[in-house]
Amino acid sequence: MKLWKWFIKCPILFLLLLSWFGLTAFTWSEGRLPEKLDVNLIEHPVFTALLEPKEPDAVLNDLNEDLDNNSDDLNATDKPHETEETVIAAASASQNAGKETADAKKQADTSKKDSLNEKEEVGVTKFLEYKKKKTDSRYYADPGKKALTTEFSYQKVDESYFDDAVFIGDSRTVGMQDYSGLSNAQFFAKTGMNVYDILEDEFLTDPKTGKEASVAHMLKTNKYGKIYFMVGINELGTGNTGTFQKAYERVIKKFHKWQPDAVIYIQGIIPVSKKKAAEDEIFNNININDKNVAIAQLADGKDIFYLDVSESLTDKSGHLKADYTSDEVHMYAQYYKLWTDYLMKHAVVRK
Amino acid sequence: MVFSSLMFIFRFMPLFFLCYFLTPKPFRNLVLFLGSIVFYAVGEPVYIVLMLFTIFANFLVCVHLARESRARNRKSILVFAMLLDFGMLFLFKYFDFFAQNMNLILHKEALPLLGLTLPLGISFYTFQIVSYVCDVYRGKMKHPGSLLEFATYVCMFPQLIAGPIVQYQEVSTELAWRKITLQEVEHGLEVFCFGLGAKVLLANKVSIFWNQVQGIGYANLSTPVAWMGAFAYSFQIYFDFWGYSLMAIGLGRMMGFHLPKNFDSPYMVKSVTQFWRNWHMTLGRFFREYVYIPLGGNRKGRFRMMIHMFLVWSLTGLWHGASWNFVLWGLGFFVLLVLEKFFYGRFLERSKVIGHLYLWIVIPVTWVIFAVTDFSQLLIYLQQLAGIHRQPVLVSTDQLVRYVHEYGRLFLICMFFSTRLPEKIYHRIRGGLVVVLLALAVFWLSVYELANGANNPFLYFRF
Repeated sequence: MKLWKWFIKCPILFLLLLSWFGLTAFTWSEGRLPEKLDVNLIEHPVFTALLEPKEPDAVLNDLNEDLDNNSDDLNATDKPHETEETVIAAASASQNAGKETADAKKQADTSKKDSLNEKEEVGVTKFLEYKKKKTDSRYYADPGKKALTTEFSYQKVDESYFDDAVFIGDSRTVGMQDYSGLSNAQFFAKTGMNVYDILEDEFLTDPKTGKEASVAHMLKTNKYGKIYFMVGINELGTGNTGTFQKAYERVIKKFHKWQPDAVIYIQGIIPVSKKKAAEDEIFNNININDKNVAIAQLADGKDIFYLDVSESLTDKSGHLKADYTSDEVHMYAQYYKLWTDYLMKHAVVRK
Repeated sequence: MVFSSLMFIFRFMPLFFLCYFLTPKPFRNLVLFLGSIVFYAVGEPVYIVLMLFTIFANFLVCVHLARESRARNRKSILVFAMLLDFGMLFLFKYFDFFAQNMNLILHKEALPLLGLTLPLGISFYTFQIVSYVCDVYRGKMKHPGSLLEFATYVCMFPQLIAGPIVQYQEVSTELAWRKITLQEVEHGLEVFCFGLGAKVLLANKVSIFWNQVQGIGYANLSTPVAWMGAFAYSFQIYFDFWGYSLMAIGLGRMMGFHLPKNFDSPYMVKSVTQFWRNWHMTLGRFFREYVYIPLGGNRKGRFRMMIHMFLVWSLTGLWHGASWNFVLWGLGFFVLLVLEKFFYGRFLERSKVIGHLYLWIVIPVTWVIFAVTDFSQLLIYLQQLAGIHRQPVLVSTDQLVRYVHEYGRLFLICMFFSTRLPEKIYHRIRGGLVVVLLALAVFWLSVYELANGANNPFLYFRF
């Protein structure tokens, strides 16, 4: 029987067979995959490679360019690294094994200087040291210390403090939007949001024009008094702590550029539960702590503060309390109040 | 290995079917058996020995049963087999549950908890083996097949892990000789594609919403969201299980087996009685033929009938899981079935709308009982459904509107596929180009989702 007649008889079979063969051949021949996806080829055929627009680390190359390009105009409005920095309590300034960027290293070594105005208080971000654990992940390393909330004379405030506040972040911030009860604040939050896309992704609607808008647009065209930022849980398996810190720094610098009078709160990534941490190579609390230590170093104690908001959400070993969550990552609705309470107890009030 | 995984679709399936179709016909059962062993061993490398042992032991039992003609001896052999089979099931699935409850009653740690992992598919293959042994005992099968045929019947990978629960007579002729045509393979692939779609494109997607509802915490739900959650779970479990059964039937078809239908649009019936004739039909059949009827069914008076039903439904509930909420679930159906039988069943069947509304309210509630294992949490959820809020409701109307916006379309699609329309349309356009394109589209969409998503639970998997 002629081959085309066979095809007409059972097209699905033939098409699937052909495509299977083609996919497999492509997979084996292309060789693109093994270094990018360190998952077993047998489980993930070429699909994930075919459908990803770029290699994930390529995103980070763009960031490097951006950071270099922006450093010039940033110098005009920002205080550069050398004059404003945080002090790390540990004298020896232990580093991540090759993961910290040169900038962060500089911050660790130089000492604190007084700010321009003597009367103006400058917060200090301290770190609590502990014994490092051995890790063999290419995404993170145990930093050997935990970041503490920037020391500052915070005030206790009520909900009205958040009238001009904006919360920017991922699904945890979506939870804040839903359950914190802060109906007066703005929320720019989306599940799955990450630090690489946060500024440019147009997931918001500008209430003035009714059109789609990005966080960058909203920050450029409105005035806010406080910016609360929390991302990180979705980036745990992309790049490494150094690339994360770089991207985070870029975002913070933009925030400060567009809202020079606003207080920027870097909120530490809320940990995952003990169960998740124990069984997941990427979504565990050593990784999260590593990222938190990296971003805490970006706090300058004047406009940018680091807040460890998970204080009342975690148990003694730093895991998210098991009965506070059903999916090991997000809290039940009723516990977002604890987060809000923490924010209301650690507010920077400017005269 | 799950059917809806890339590993199965792109590696096991092509390689297995390649070997299968290249093998000359007399050896195909062997290839099927060995392939099924590989399939099982990948998911359960240790307990495979248990399954093989169970098969072998039961086969010996059947050989003896076939030879033995004295009634009393036959009975004792049967009892031995039942003890063996259900004993294994009890040990691996129910012992810890039993021990916990005994310890609770006795107020001391009398029995240790064994902490054994549940062997894959044990609930399903045990029932299949039991049905085989019982049929041999009853003389339904004059000549039970060879060891290889029996082993293939039990282990056949399409129905090994999650049913349908096949009776031996349904496949006995096909085990001996089966006709393969390209059309059959094509048809099997079609059914497989649609089953895959039901699982990946419907069940997995709607499970995201159910997980969100769980993540809020039942204590703080609003009533509309609680109901949405119940509906979501109802859709999830239906498309999950129906999709899997369709995939099993499709795979069987590709090899020439006609596996029995397991679902017949159960959400479109008008009473719970009818529901259980259309939901997990092979399980209902098992309990009817091997428990209810041997006990006497409804031929020993009303009171005895109720006792039989009580037993059947407690066991049905317990079969689904070693936890009291499953027993409660089963007994809930017992109550409803008795009420329908004696009071309003016929009224429902003759009604035009009320029967449907009744089912659409009752069934999601029963699924909530099935879904929530912890009793205090279950009580909270049922209160939310009824509008009783003990804790503050933290879900705002804005959030509800957002959920409807996000999942409304998915719910509508699920509703459409719960009706009889898709099947009717399918039978009209079968064999045409549209079906081919649809099947391929569904297939590739599902593969795309699988490649991207991490979310792929299979609810009946740990069975």
